[in-house]
Amino acid sequence: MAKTYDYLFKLLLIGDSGVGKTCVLFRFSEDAFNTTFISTIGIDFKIRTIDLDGKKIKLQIWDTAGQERFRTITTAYYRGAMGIMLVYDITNEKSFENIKNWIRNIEENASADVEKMLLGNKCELEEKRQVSKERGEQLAIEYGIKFIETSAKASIRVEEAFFTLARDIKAKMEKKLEASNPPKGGHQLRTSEPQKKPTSWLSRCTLL
Amino acid sequence: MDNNQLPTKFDLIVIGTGLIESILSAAASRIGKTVLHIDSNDYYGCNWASFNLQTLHNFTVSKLETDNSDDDCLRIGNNLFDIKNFKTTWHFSDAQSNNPEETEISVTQEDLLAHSRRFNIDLVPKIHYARGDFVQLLISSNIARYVEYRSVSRVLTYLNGQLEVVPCSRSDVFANNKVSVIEKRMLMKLLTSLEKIEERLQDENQCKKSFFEFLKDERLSPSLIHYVLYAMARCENNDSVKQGIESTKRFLHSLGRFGKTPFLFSLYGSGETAQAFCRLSAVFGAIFALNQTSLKGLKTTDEKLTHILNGDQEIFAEQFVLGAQYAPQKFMKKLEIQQFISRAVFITDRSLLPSEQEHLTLLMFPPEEGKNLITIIEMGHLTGTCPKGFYLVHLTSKQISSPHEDFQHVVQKLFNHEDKEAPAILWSCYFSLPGIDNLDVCESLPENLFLCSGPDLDLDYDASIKKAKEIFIKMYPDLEFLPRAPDPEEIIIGDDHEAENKEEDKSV
Repeated sequence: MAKTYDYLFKLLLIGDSGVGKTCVLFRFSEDAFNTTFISTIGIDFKIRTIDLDGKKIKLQIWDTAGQERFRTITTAYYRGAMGIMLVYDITNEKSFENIKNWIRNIEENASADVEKMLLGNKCELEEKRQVSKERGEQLAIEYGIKFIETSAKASIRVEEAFFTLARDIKAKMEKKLEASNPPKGGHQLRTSEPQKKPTSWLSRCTLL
Repeated sequence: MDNNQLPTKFDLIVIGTGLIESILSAAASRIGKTVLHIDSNDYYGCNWASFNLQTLHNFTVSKLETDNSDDDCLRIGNNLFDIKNFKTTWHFSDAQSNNPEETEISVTQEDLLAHSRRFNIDLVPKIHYARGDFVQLLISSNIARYVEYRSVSRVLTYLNGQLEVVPCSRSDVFANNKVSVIEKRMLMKLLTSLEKIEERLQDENQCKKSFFEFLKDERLSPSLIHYVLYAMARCENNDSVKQGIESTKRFLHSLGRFGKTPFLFSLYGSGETAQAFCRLSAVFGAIFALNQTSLKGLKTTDEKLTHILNGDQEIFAEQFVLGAQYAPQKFMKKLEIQQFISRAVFITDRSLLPSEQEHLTLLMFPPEEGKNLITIIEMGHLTGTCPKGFYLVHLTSKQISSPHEDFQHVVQKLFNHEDKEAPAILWSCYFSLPGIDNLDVCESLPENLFLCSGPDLDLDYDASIKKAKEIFIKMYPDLEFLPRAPDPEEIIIGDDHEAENKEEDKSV
């Protein structure tokens, strides 16, 4: 089967429970919004393929599966991640303060060159705002990452956020490719056996 | 996080995130059971975990709080299954400074610690048969999406004082100039007729023979016997012929699926595997809470467990699954376990058998000098378990006296520091893992409590899968064990969602 994309990026969503990670994911992947998710049941990851400068980029975006609630995100979750969306809720001060803890968690577990971005979600709830846009910007500057305020509910700048992150990863990757650093890799196990006939030397050992 | 209170009613409470507990958590959650999965450690995996260098170097066996005086509950935890004889050492010899011209060996302890996070050091390194039950389960349950694998690229043995590549694939046979054409023929004849041999043995009632004697009777040359007995069948000298043939068949059956050898290793270390099952469990709604240091005890009524005490909370469930180390002391009829697994891990500066490409090596070191067969796995940076330029070497065997003594002869033969070609050990770690093949140390348990054994000596997880399945069947006799989880694109959010979505559109 021919590949239908040029690049595959694994992205993660990180942040406190209830900041709207799953809603951001649904807005981006299905252009839908649903407030009935109490937690993240049954959602593993979502896929959306986007066009960037003539390249097809398949974004595989992973959700926390609720394991952020008691800070029990597996180290395995971070493996191979190329980009991370750090999400807080602008109406929840605590979720903003916790971004620092999440960044520490990322530094401990994710690859050192993972691309990060800060999202202040629920920006449609201006009247309930607890975290000013300036503080969001300031924090992003502190960590040298990009910042955007989004609303998954009102569909504000969610697209822009993911496209920005994807573009930055792509730029970084192309720079790396130029430096000809072949990526290391393992393999995911598939249902189908390899196409190649098993070359067990038992099956055909004419010499012997 | 503000909301630290856990819900208080579940179908199943799992304590411990070892492999078998994690499989059960996933299996129960997958069929719609509500699951609470907790661990007193702040990491996943219990005795099956992987650690970075810094963490493992400072590893101490964690203890549950036992000083509370609440005696009307069964205290959780026992010390039977603790890791013992744990010792780590840096080996930066002064010899380096005596050789100023050898600038290449300028690594220091600080250099290694600076890369600490790039190390993923397994307490229990496992290798999987490409067509074994574990790999089949990963694929059939769709858990394979959470972990990546690399093929073991060569199998070695130690023969006549040197390391030899064991021919696994046809090309290996061609490349192998240590085996004569006649020997190749003999080997082929044996391996292609194992089924027939099995039948014949039943007729002749020869089953009492050891596999070693059998191979000798088949008139295989000493080096062939060596390859088959130790490297393919992983047998000790007195293992039975039945066992030998079974494991040889297992080896052959897994050839030609994913790589040159029949074996796979999980990228970033074996500790990832338990986590993959935990992830599936969480995706299907299980609640995870690590670092639960105030886990106190279990409450029973009429021979059944009813709930656990976790801090101030009482949390109820129908069934309980506990890692063996969490079993209340009261259920332990013995005070000690006899069988331990000797383990050692080394960080080295080069491969045991350097070659142009980086290899992931499985070396079966034959029993000699009164020692047991030793499984050695050498992994380089491509496995995601150590930084480039270094190797991790894992040694595992059934304990005779102590890990140090059990492996001493191997260290002398393979890591002899007077031999400039041999790898230098930069850091070493020795420990004894409690070997629990069966839980005969336990008294009869409440009917809704199930204990999971810890790591075994097997190369792979197949026996652990079997144990998990047995417990699952006892808990949920009529339900399917880890049916295939749907792919994300197959999940369609229900109609009410769409209706709501339309409303949403109007309001915008």
